[in-house]
Amino acid sequence: MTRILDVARMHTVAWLGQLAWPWAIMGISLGTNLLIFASIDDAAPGKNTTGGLASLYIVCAIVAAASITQVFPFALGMGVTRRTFYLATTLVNVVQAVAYGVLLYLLNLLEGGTNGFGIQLRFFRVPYVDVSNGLLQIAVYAVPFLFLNFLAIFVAVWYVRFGTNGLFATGAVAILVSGLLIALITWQGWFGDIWQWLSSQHQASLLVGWPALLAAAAGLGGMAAIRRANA
Amino acid sequence: MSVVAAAGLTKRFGDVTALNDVTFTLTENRIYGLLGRNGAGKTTLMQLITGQNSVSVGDLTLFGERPFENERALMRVAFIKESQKYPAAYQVRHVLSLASRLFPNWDEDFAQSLVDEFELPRKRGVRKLSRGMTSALGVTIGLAARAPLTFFDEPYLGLDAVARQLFYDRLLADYAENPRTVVLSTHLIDEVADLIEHVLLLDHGKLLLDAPSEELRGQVMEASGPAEAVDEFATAHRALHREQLGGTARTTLRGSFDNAERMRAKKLGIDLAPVSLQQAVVRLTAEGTNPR
Repeated sequence: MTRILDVARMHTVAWLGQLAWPWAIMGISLGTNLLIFASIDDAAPGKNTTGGLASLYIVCAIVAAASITQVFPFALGMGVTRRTFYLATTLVNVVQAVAYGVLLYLLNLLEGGTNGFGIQLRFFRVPYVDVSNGLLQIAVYAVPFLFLNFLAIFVAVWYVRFGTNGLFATGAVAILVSGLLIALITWQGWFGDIWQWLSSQHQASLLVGWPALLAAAAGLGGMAAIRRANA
Repeated sequence: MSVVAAAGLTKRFGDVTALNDVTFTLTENRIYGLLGRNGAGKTTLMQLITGQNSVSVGDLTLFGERPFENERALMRVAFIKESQKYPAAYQVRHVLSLASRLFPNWDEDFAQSLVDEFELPRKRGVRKLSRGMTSALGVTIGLAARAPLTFFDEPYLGLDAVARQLFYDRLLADYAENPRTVVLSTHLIDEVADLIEHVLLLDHGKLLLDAPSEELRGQVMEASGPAEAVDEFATAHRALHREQLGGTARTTLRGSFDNAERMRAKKLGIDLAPVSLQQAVVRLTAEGTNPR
């Protein structure tokens, strides 16, 4: 376990890029949104929401992918096994997701308590994603980090193992398969049924359960793929 | 106990055979020279031993265990290579601080003194270091790690002569105090000839030579003198190389040169002299490449 913590430090030792950039970019997004919405005299009801929060998730996913393509070759060179490296990476991403979930929840409370920073802005209280239960809210914020980061990690591992051609070939196959699937669904008229199934899902399953399951699948896939990867 | 044992080791990349049926052992507390031309298979061999890559055929053990994905065995190895990649965000001090926790025998004072001697800027980004400074960082890690098995794969690239000498001096001094197994893979054979105790020579993926350097020095000699006498003398040995200028010939020979042989050479009017390790390696490799 100490070995895993020592290897986890590889992701946090240069903490500025890992931690500061995603929040700095989100902060800028929040700042500009505040300016824009403050300068609109009377925002129409329901038109005071922004998607600025997505920037945090996207930058975090990019950092996660870079942690594979850059840190993995270094770790392997330092005599770290693929297994230990991946477990350490998983640990960092899970802890980070939970910590960020809590932090976003606190910001959510702050936004709610200040009446949307005084201008009814809904930056953190994104509609539908804004739930009433505190613990559920933390999970709702945390799980998309896991989903996106492990997806990014899986893609990065695929790239490290199979190179540019392998990545693009897999991407092409994925597009082909999903295209054929959509064609099949359209042809059979299954979209209505799918929509019905989605809307019948509990909010918690849709926002937490299913993305967490997909994140776990991507995480296990990345583990399997990295075991045979060479830097 | 053998530190590394390889038997019939073969590694293929597609249809390229990088290592072909290589068998050898590395023993404790010795400095090895892993020599050979570019593409001979040196780096591949080190990658297999350090678990960076998997074995195709054959058996390989590191401290008695298979190295691939073996934490316990790999923790006792430092692999310093010219091609080591570092994350863009890392500064010199980050790399040192990580290495200090990853290598169980790390000597922090030694590391800091090396950083000072190589004049490494602690707060500079690793990717912004010059070629030579990147090498100096690798050398610092390799020495301070005090790993029971340490590989240096072309560690000197870009290092100036003064820094290289500093590396050789520190390596030798620290090796005397903390004996361990060191493998030097290098093209500057003459520079490290005095350090190397045992030579492993690879050529086209095959192990051409596995011998103590002292033994090798006594085995490869250069005989020069009248062409006829040299050729007569050469019949008792393996001629690796021959050149003639007028009536004078010079051949590089491999064999055993005991006192009787030395006397015979003297009687024939032949000058018998040992060749440098680098010359021996060049001649042996050339012979292996172009069998007569």
